[in-house]
Amino acid sequence: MRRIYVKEDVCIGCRLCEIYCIVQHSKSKNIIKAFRNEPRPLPGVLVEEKGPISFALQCRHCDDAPCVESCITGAMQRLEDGRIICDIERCVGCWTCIMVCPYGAIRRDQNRKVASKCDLCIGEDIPVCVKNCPNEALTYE
Amino acid sequence: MLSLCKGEFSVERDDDRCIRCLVCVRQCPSDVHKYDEEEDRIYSDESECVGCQRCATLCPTDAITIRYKPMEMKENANWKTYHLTNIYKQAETGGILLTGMGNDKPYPIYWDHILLNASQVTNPSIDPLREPMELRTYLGRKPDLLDIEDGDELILKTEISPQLKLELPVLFSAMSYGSISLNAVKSLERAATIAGTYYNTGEGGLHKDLHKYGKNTIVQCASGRFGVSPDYLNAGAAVEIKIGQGAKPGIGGHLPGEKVLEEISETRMIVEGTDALSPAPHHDIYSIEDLRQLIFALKETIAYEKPVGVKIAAVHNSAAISSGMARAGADFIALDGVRGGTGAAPLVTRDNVGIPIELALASIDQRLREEGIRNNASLIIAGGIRSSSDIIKAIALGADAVYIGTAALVALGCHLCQKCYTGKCAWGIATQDPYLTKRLNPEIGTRRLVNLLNAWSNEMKELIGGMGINAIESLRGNRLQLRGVGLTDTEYKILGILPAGE
Amino acid sequence: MRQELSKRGVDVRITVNKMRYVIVGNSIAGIGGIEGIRSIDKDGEIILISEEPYRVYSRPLISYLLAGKITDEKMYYREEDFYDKNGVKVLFGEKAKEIDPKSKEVVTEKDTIRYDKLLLTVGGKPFIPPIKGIQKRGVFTFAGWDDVKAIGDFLRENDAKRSVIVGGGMIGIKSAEALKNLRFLAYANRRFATTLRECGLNVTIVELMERILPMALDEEGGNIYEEHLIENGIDIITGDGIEEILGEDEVSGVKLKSGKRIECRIVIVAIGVHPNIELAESAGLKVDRGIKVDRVMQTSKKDIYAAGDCVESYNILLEEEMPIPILPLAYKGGFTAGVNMAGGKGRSEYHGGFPMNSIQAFDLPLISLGMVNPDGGCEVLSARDGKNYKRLVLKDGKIFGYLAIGNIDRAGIVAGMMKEGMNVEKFKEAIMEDDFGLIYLPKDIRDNKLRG
Repeated sequence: MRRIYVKEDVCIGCRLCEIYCIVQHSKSKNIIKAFRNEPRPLPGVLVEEKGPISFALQCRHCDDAPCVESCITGAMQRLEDGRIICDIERCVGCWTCIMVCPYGAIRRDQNRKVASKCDLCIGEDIPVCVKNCPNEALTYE
Repeated sequence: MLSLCKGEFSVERDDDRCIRCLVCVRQCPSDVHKYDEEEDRIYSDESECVGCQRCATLCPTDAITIRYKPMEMKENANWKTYHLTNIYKQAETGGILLTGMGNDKPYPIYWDHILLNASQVTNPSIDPLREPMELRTYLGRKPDLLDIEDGDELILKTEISPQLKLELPVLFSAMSYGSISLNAVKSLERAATIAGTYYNTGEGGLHKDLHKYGKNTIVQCASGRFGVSPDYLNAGAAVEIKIGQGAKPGIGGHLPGEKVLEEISETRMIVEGTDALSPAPHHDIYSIEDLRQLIFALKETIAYEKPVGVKIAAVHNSAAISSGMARAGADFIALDGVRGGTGAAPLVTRDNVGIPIELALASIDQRLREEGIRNNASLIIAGGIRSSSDIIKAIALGADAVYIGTAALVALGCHLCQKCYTGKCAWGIATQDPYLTKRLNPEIGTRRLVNLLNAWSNEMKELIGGMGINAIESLRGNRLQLRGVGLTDTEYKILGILPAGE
Repeated sequence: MRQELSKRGVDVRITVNKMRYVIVGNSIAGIGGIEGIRSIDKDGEIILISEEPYRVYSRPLISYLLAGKITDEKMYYREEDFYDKNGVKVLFGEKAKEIDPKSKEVVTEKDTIRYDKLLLTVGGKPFIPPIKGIQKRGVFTFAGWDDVKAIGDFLRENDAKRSVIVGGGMIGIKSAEALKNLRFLAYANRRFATTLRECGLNVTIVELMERILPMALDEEGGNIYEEHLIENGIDIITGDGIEEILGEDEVSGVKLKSGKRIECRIVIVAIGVHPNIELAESAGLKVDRGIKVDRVMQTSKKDIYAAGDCVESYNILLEEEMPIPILPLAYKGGFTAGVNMAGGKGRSEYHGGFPMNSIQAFDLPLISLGMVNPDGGCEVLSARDGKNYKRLVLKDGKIFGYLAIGNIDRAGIVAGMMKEGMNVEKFKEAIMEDDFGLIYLPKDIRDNKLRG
């Protein structure tokens, strides 16, 4: 199972990972349209910043995933290729997954009242955050 | 006081493309871009823009164009905008004007007046894709004569002085940790290791993390003697005594205290937060004899196992001084021309002191040959080498190898904004700000530098192959391969080359 | 011998008798058990005895269903083909009456089923206090799908505008929110309501303790949450209990211990659940407050396992065994049992946990972890900004309890540190920061997490 890792030492806090994640999960996948004319999805990547330190954090797609084990609806599930996704049709926004994720990698989508997280860009060989990180701070290995 | 100096750049934002992602806001170290939440708009304070192009490069929608747009002064033949704005600045500050990078004044660039030869019909050219080509270069004192014992097997009896072995005749110039970031130093070090050449510590000492990679390091001993210790001297592959620098001949260096952070203070062996002042002269060198003493003191320390060289700025009497250095025991001489770069120098010095490296090189090579001591020391030249053709021309003029500084930094992302001295390098190169230094990922930096060296190696092989030469050694000092265009008789004479057509 | 047999055309492949796994209880722990078994043993026979006639559904979702936030289809915890895909034979509507550990049999009303390995995931049942009038029409528990149906049926037939919830725990609050927000026509009182909005009922929560969610909240947290519920139209009475449920055959109101009377047509008893231990007890399994299990989820009898709300779990904070009826532990326990029943190694030990709850009523989220109200000997840090509240309880440098109201986003990191038993003494203040995240952790710990 390949995962996204971050090299904190070279993360420059530009947040392009978030921007490309939003575009990838938008309706049109056109960066200008996605930002200007469409409802903006929450990015699945979360950038933490404090002073000069910054890093991007994505779901680890744990082997022993507490979010999947704890999900009260079955929305949080592991696909056959190992990635964990949240089926927002089934999610009711109880935030149990947020309570158990030891990385704090799941977000509350307050508009849609569902959990939002990284899906490793279904259909892409390399997640777009990794592909577009200008400083190669993200790796997919 | 109202400043009469306006910004030099205009920031053009295509509002149809701008998505308010704020990458520009986050990336500008000069706080040019500011987001106004109320209006959902980004305002740009152009007066602070230095034209580094960081925002324009990272903007995901290409919404930003930074245009050079200096104030249009009423210039005349004597009074240029350059002079007017400098006077305004000095009238406002009362201080010496500082600048970064190399001399940008329109003094003649002789490389651009020299053309290379190529083989036609009578001496076939060589295709580097099909035949082996050699760029390998050895730097160090070469013996006057080789004493070989004849017999079943030839045995070299002459003891050869220590040599530096380079896989291509290019080294990375002295750039101290302090003037550039540790990530930049690491990039240079790793690239030098991979490419089989050397980088130079400058006068910043050798960071503890890099001691173990000393085999591709030239350690410098400058007038401030920062970080110099027997361990340091022995950690490198060679030692270079720095007398002068092309960007600021005759003056010392100054790393302001605010840049002397913990790791720099440790590396330089000075108190944290204190200014690192390199005196203009070495206070123990007032003559060639004094220099000889230092050279041999250093050689003693490193047990004569590695070459010791001397670096000077190219000035009017460089040829005579070089003769002295070669006689004083320098295994290599590094010459830094008027266009050599710097992290910080007084503008007036950078723009007016020194001589072009091409002329200095030609005259020194000539002088050492005439005196029969050209083999005493190798010649490394520096100061404004921009391309593989500059290198080939330098070698044909008599250089053994070249140092590249600015070119290396440009490969790392430098956009030549000349604001190194502010410490706010947006590309993470000439800065110690931890927020900015991260921007230079040493893995990427290494890759870019190695790519540049590989590209130049391939081009150099094409050029010498075209001349019918298969080893760079055969081109060294081969001025017949050069012809000049648009020069004066005196310049031809100094350069030792013929005009094109002759 | 085998060759001879083979020559005679007899199939001589060594066939091990297939295991027969029997699971009693179609619950989250039961599903964990199935998935645990199937992670090791793809062939064994699995028989699931399900008292309720439904495909496995999620009990915590009943309040969402009652409120009309979800439809029936979304109640199911797994896809429709889950049992087929996993080769599970389900006996719907059958109740396990007894277990004979000697002959390894489960007796239901219709049949006797032999098992090789048995898993009990019989859950808990709502606690019904001995209150006078509790049997009256209009009194409901709130634990399963049938309860929602019964409440819905009742509301369709009766012009109920007022309700009383007995118990201010998690179920009480979620049912209060559901009744207040009632807007799904199927359950709303269509005959009596003129607009959708009016479907909502007046709700009074009666809690015996000094505050709602007495275990999950501290005093200040309780105040914040009570105020929030009151702002959203919920009446709350604390420190008082129900003396009697009034009315003839049907509920007309309640009388409190303090003597106060509240008019209502519907009473929901939400005092809590306690483990179903009768079946286990009658089979001679060791029980206390719940069924006793070891680290591989085996009960005191060989080949009988148990998991979920019916068992006692090891509380890693209090270092004692007790029922911790929460869904994450139910699944994990069931899965662990399944793996061990199938003879698997690896993820085969269950190390217990601690109480944790994520609740959200009227859009104010709350996460409570561990022991928020310690007995003493603990250091407490707290910070409040409006409805945002954080409380951190430390014992010997480790996190003993944590409460977040409002800003709950990174609470999982805290839960993770509690699970690991990490000493947080050096950065405890950081945990209280509004923007707390991994970045506040010491570099070595953070690096570990980021590489993990």
